[in-house]
Amino acid sequence: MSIVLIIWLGLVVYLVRLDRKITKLEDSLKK
Amino acid sequence: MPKYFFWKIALLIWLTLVIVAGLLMPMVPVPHAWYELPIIPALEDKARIIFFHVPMSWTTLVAFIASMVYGILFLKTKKMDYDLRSVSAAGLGTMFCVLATVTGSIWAKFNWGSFWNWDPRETSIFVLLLIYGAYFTLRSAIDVDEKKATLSAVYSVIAGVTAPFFIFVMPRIMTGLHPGAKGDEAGSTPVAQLHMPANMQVVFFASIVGFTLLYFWFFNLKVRSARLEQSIHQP
Repeated sequence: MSIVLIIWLGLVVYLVRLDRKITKLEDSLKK
Repeated sequence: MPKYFFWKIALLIWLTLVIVAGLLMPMVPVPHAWYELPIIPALEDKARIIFFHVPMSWTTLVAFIASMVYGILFLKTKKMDYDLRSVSAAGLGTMFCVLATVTGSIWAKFNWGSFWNWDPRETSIFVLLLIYGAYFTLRSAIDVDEKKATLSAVYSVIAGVTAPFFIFVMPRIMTGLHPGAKGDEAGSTPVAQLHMPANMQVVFFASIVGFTLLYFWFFNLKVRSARLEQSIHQP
């Protein structure tokens, strides 16, 4: 159970950071 | 802040609750409380896989059908963005297919004693993985973008037609170990006819919805990062 939650939370953090990074890159290309 | 940021955080909280519910809701012989699930004879705790393995298979199908639809749109319009979306969907479909296969294999080890048994369900999912493996091999063998996109689109249409057959039909018309095989029609009723208690249905459908929305988010990220890569290489 704890392993599953650790893997899931790791994926959550990765996804959020990736989304923010892509958004930043898109915004910088628009400028 | 990324678009729809709060919806995405809500989805992640939703799926966290699904995972916690799916793994922690106690299984008892006679449920009394809303959070208690009934013990399914011969499966017991192994039944929890239904909250993850089935939604992954469902998401595989959604992704492969999406790849087919974008393939058709590319063939109609010749817009390269549709090819980008088609290959992104196919990639994600393959990823979810691998996850469904892995979770199924783990369940098979506990239930049938070995990870792989060449059961019709296992064989059909393996064939599906080979079909989409060939899709990526085809793409990597062609250098010209327009030709690559056209052939991939045609392939994705044919592959997309086979996906429902390998996921829904073939495992049910052959005898096998997996629940729902020919001769064990009752084994498919928990999913196909919703013969599960209401609280179990809530977690199950919450998982289906969550995984589907997660797929759309992955797809969105994949397409956006591919477009960024294109604009950097071809300004």
